Amino acid sequence: MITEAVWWGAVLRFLQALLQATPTIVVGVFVAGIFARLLGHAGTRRLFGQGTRRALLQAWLVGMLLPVCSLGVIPVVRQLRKAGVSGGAILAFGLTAPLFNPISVLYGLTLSEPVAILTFCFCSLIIVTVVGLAWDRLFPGTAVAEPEPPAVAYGLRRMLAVAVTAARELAGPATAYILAGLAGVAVLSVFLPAGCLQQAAEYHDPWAPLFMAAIAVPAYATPMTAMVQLASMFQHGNSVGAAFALLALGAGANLGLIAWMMRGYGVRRTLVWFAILWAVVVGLAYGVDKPLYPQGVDPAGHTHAFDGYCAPFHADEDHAVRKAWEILVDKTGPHEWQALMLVGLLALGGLILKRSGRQERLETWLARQPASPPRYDIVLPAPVLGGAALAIVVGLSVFGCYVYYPPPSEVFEETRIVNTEVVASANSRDWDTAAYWIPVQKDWIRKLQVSMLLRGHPVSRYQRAKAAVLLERLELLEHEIEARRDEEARDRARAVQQAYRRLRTAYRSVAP
Amino acid sequence: MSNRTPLPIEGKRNRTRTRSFRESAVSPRLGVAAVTSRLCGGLLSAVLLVAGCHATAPSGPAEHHAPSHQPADLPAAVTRLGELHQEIVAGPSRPAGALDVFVEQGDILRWLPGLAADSDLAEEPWNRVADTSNALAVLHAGLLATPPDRRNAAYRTQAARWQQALDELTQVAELLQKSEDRS
Repeated sequence: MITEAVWWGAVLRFLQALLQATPTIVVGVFVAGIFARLLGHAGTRRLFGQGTRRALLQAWLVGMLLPVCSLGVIPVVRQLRKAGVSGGAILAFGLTAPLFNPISVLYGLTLSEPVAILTFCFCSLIIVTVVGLAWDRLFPGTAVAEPEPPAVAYGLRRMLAVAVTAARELAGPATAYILAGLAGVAVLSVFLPAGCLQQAAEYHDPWAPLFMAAIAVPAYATPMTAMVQLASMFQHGNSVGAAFALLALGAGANLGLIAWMMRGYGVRRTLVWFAILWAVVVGLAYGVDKPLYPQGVDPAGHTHAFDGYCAPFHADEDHAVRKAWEILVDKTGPHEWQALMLVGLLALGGLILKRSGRQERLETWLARQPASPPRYDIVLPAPVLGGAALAIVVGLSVFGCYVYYPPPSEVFEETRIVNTEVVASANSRDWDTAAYWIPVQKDWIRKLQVSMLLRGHPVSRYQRAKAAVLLERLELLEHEIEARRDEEARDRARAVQQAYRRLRTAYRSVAP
Repeated sequence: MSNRTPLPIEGKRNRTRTRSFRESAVSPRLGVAAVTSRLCGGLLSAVLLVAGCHATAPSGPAEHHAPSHQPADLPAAVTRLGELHQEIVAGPSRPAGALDVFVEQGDILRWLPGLAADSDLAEEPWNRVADTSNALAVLHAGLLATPPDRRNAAYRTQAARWQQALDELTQVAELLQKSEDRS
């Protein structure tokens, strides 16, 4: 029976996934617009190595660079299909882009063993190569090309055309597929009680990779979330194979993407593709499970990495609506609210355009050349602008790394304040406040190490060990807070304070 | 730049196709919603069947249980390693069913760097602990590759190296003890 708590829990999961996805959905629709109106079909096919042996590798590389998630990639793959890119290359890109981007790879390299992350990157190349080659071999001729949109006049009209295409995507089937992906997240949470996956990925469980491969597809995770989950699984000594399956299928695919494939390529082809994908992922998962198991880690016997896929509340929870709203407001960042507003505005614009019946007039206006040629400006070809735009997208994500991982001195400013909040609230039995700030502190500690690497400061073993101790102490405090144990929470808070002081001392050389 | 004619695809094949999304078992009348709902139903049913078999309802908040033989801090760990060293050199003595002495030793070696990090040790002495425990871990791995009935004998052939390493760890533990007494 679906209680009110379960229902509102599903709504919360739906909205959380939507908010997490909106920044990359914005990126996705604009990238689709760039492909459509600036690069053009020919330029897009060239970018993806159409007709060459390196098509799959190129698609993988482009996917590694673009910062989109498995929902944000949907508008892009739709555009790739319209451009006549081969099915294998589209699927290679569609599977890779949600897994890795410059920010998430950096995060993963610092949080987990670098060899594990690099192996996962390489395994993703194997997946897309095998699956892509199989697709092109089994189903040749699936590339279709729609008529190219009319050329747009130079100047601001070209930029506007990109935005118009983005708006149309959001007012069209892309949104339906995105909602399908989100629906999978909500339904999964209905059937998975709170915390039921905490022992689902133990290292000694031979079924763990298989089980994770089964539940990962309807789940949704951004590339960053997936990296944090991977790090948590390595830290807790969970199954590496399960971690890989989670990354490849949980972050890489969703029901919306599969629905798009069924609609575009047919049910039979999609099922064959999915079967091959699943088999390759499971095979690789079992292949890396033992070799990549982290040395010197004590299995914790549980993991919190999958709590976000389960119901957020127990079925008998009271005040589920209020709690759902509080969690949503507390955990959503300002950039996610802003991205949601932008998505909403674009979708509204697209709908108005559709309903107004003025699309043809708009296209005519966009195609109309200015009355007089520019006097001082140089008119760049659209593909050059398209390439520059894509380079800017990638460049912004690299720049974003430096913004997302501020200098160590700034990180310590933040952690000092957060540590005070954590310790004070744990000591004063303000459980909710403590439970709010502990994950924030954990996130900052992880960011600290990435920040140092970005700025050319190698992180010593000593510094890593200090950070690991603090993260462990925070987790132990978190457990005591969940259990509402006063004395134990105070003891753990003292240990956290001590561990933070030692961490601060260890990093004095980079952040005096 | 525009080209309204169907474009050649897949370079080498040089074939053109007009637009077609309907070459599949999907009925032309099925729209996005219908495909999505069928897909959701089918896949989720399979997933939830698997999840139901494997997932377990939690009986309470997950706990971290420290093993009973985990030392409280670095000095205790070094002391215990010394005791284990003496025990192994003396010969097998633990009753059947008790924790294997080599397992206990391996666990403590693995915990050493973390225990050292959870103290006020400066970087240089910590590095000594980490390097020593890594070196001992290599020796220990070699011992574990030996059949159990010959492990003690194999250990005795390395006893001097173990003792040297334990002396190094004891020095660091004493250093820590002194600095804690001062503060």
